[in-house]
This record gives sequence, C-alpha cells and structure tokens, in this order.
Amino acid sequence: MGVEPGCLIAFKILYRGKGVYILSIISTLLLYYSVFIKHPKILDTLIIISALNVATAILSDSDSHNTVFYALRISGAKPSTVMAYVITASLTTSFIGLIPVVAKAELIKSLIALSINFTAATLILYPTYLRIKKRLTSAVT
Amino acid sequence: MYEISVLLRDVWKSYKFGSELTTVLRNVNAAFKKGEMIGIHGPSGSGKTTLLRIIAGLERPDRGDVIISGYNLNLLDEVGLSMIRNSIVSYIPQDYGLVDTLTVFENIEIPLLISGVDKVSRVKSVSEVIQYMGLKGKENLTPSHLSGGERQRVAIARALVTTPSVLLADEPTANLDWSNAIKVMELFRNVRKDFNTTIVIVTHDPRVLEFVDRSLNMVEGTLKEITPKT
Repeated sequence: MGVEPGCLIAFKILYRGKGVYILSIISTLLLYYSVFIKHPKILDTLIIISALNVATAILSDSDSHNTVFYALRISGAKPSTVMAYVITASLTTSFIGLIPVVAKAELIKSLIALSINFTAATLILYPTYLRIKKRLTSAVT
Repeated sequence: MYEISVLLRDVWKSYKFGSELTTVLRNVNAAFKKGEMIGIHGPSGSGKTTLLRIIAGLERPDRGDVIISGYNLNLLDEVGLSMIRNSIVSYIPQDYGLVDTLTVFENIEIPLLISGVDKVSRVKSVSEVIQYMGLKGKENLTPSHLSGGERQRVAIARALVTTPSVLLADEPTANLDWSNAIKVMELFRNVRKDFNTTIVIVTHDPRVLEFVDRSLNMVEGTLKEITPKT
C-alpha cells in the first residue's frame, strides 16, 4: 500500500510553495513572545495570530492549490484523493502555525489552537476545490 | 469489445442564468467509432465544450444517455465517473490544466498516481510517453519554462499516459500559431493510428477539420454532419 496520492501531491506543493516558509519564519519569531512575554492574554493573542498566519500561508499558495484541484478533477481523482490533499495541506500548516502556542505548554489551549488553525485552512481550501469543480461544469461555450 | 466508443442518445442540457433558462444542447445524437477522429466545429457559445464535458463525465446531462465504451455515465456516481475519467476518457482543456509547481514528469504522472500505479511502473509509463511526445530532456522543467506547443504536448502526454479509449480535446490549437497547430494535429493522427484511440476535437477553426475523419457542426445545440469522409 503506497502513500495516498493526495497527501504526496500536497507535500510537494507545500514545500515548493512559499506559504509554509513564511509561516515557519513568523511562527519562530512569535516564539519570542511566547517564551519571554508574561502577560495573561498573550496566549489567546497568539492563538488568533496563529490562525491568521495559517490562513495567510494557504492563501499565498492559492494559485498552486487552484491548478492542482483543476488537474486532479480532470485526471479523475476520487473525492477521497481531494480530501486527502485538503487534510494534508491543512494539518501541515496547522502544526507549523502551532509552534508559538505549543511553547506555552498548555495542552487544552494547544488543542483548541490546532482545531482553529485546521478549520481556518480547510475553510479556504475546500471551497476552492468546489469552485474549481463548478468552473468545470457551468461554463457555456 | 465495443465498436462504438462514444454513444450519445437524446442528450439535453440547459443552464439557468438568473431567471432565464438557456438550452445549450438539444436532442444531441451521435456515435463515434473506436479509432475514429471526430471534429466538432461551431462558434463560441454553441455548446461544444459543454458536450465535451458531458462526455468526460465532468457534468451530467439533464436528459439522455451518454455511453462510453459500454458504460452508461448516468448510472455512475461521483466515484464511478472519476474512475471513467482516470482510465477510459481523457480530457484536455483549452488552458491545458498543467500545474506550474510540478515538473513535466510530475504533471504527466498525476493520473497514474491517482490510480495507485506503483513507482516503477509509473516511471516506465511516463518515460515512454515523454519519448513518444518528443519531450525528452524537458522532464525536470516546469510548464512555465516551456513554449505553448510544448505545454500542449505535456497536456496530451498526461491525457495519454493511461492509454484511454477516448481522448477529448477542447480547442487544442487555439493558443498556437498555425505551424505548431499542424504539428499538434499530426500528433493526434499518430495517436489515433498507434493506440486506436477515439479522438474528439472541438474547434472553432475550420482548418483543423482537414485532419479529422468526420466533421460535425454544432448548430443551435444540435450536431449535424457537415463533411462525411470515407
């Protein structure tokens, strides 16, 4: 049993894109605040910034995601392959964006942040796929 | 074995634009034989691309049957249609649908990856198609480093790598100058001869019809034969 093709393609797109690199740099820089700033609201602020960072990372590679969804649809990718792509891209960016939150070592808040990050990424990626799917059905020529 | 690769029976398709219903395909009936090259000609907005997408299983007709190599697409669910697109019907859109972040090799490999072919077999199949398409030496380039004609050949290669029974090409020469267009049409002829693939080409350029076995005209959503050739 090989690797699910959706996962493989997602990893290629992410490491050749710019989103995860920008996300990694900003997440690492935010570690400073996480480690050295002792404020009661800092973790909640980092959770929000983390989600925004993940969304930005996904959006910065939106051209690549668009063309991949188009190619997958034309080439006969099953819905499960597309979902594997969406989940892989969302989870990978979510974990990277989680770096400054995890540094605070609060498990519940980390899990909440992971859920928020994942939701933010999926809410961008899945509708993108649906738009591409619709683009291949409703044009009239 | 089926002599008829594509059978369209009483196919209708309409779209709603606002409150207005526009019928794009009206009672389309056609049969394309195995190994035949068909040209469908018509102006923009005549429904050619819609017809192609229905044959590819990318959208469903409102009425009528679409039977591809014996499979009635109306009886298939999303997963079934995906499998048809992955193994029996290949569709080449007008904009080629290539992924700029992936290399030529990786673009061509996509359908085989999707169908779960192992790496060794994938490398062999993709390398053979690259050789056949005259793309040797370009495997590690991305589409942005290729000419228009080369990108078209990558799109054809990706469509061919699964050795489909039916190849659908939407305006394959629209973005090319005429000398490159001739090369692409000759390539389709070779594919038809070497693989016995049924090829359906949609075009608004009447010169392209010189290369096909049979020409059909899309007039107000219906197909009419224009120049039957023997």
